[in-house]
Amino acid sequence: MKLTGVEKVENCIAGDFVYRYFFDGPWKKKGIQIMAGTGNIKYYADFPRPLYEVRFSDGTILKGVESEREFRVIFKRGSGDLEREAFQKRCGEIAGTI
Amino acid sequence: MKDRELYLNNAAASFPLAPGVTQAVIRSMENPPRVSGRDALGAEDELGECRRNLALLLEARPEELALCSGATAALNIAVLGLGLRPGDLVLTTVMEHNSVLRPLSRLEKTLPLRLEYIPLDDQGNLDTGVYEKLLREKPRLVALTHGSNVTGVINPVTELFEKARDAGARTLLDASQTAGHIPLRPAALNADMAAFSGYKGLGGPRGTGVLYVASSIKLESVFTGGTGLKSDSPLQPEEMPLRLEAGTPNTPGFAGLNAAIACCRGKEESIAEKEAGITRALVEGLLSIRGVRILGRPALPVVSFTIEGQSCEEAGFALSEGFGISCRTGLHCAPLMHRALGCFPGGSIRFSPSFRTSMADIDYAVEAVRRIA
Repeated sequence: MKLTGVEKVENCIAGDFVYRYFFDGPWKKKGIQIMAGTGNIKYYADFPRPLYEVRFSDGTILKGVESEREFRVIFKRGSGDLEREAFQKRCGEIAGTI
Repeated sequence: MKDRELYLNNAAASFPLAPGVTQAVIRSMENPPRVSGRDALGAEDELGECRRNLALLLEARPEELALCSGATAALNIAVLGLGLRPGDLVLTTVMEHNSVLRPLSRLEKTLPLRLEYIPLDDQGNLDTGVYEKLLREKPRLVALTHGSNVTGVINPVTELFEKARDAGARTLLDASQTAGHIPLRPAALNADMAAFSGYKGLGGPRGTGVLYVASSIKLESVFTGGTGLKSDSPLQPEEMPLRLEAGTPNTPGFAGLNAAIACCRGKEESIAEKEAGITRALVEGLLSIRGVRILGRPALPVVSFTIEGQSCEEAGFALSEGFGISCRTGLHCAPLMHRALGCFPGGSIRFSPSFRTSMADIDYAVEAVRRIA
């Protein structure tokens, strides 16, 4: 699987750093687990659409719907370009192994 | 429940549109454009017909209505066309949308004028004590919203504007959240000017809006240009509505708005009653959920809330992606109101149903919030 694009989510909340990550394939449970690594993963399988959420130790939150080709990443307030670039690089590398 | 889609963002733009709107837009676009339609009394074309029906709805005169691209354009035309002068005092409120706040803030900086904001009292209503005190300083303009796009509260505009007029001020009403939801009669509300969009409560197409300007008020033209009439004049024609309408109008949009008005006329009271029931059920349902805080006391179908321990972005994502509910999260373009309510910069989650929303939809929305809270 390949990371095909990243897009900042524009909303009206000042200082939010929310990005959408797009891939050329769907994120299934196994891939989500690999992506989560040591992060705390939570599934909402009883929702009409099965949501998952990963909370990383640095405060970054990743959210998505299982089997969709994208997820959303919420970086903590005040995070910089370097942190986002590092996360994006890691996303691309992990996606490449799936 | 799977793959259900529920639209609860009617305070931004209504969906579905009123019956017949889409067909009217298509019909208009499939026909060759006709006469210019800026002759207020002209009944033979789509613009003229829409203007006349709007006038009946608002109990106004056709020539008191300028057709615009939305409430934002209408409010800008009003604020910038009023001829405010350096040092003038303008009163507005913390409840306002950026479409009021930003044009006024710009003039505060460029003229400069003096801009004062009416705060909330401890009940979440406008603080009339502060308002009356500021009126003694003789403002040129009082600009306020009829209904809050955050809390759904309806302001007692008739009384507030009566006092403003007594103080010698012009009055500008932002009726974006009330038009189509409750009867709107600008003259009876003591509004010299009133702006609203056609695509919220009225259920018309996006790209339509209206500015009511009482015959006693003469606004300067903010936009000048082609009118299709009186083309020999180097200046924008003086008479309304040509004075405030330059350029080729959105005729298909207003053909659609005309169809929306036909659905609304004569049914305003029953729409208001049905929406009051829907709003009550939504508020009661949300209040039964631990950790949910509703902002203010909604009288309109505009219900904003927060969930303890969750950012509204997180909650909004779960509601939209997990439950297929379209709702608005954030500041709703009303930053001062969120500050006043103690939820800035995080914002709130807003459900804005309409009279077309069913009680089953409300139950679904409440159950979704219960499961994510």
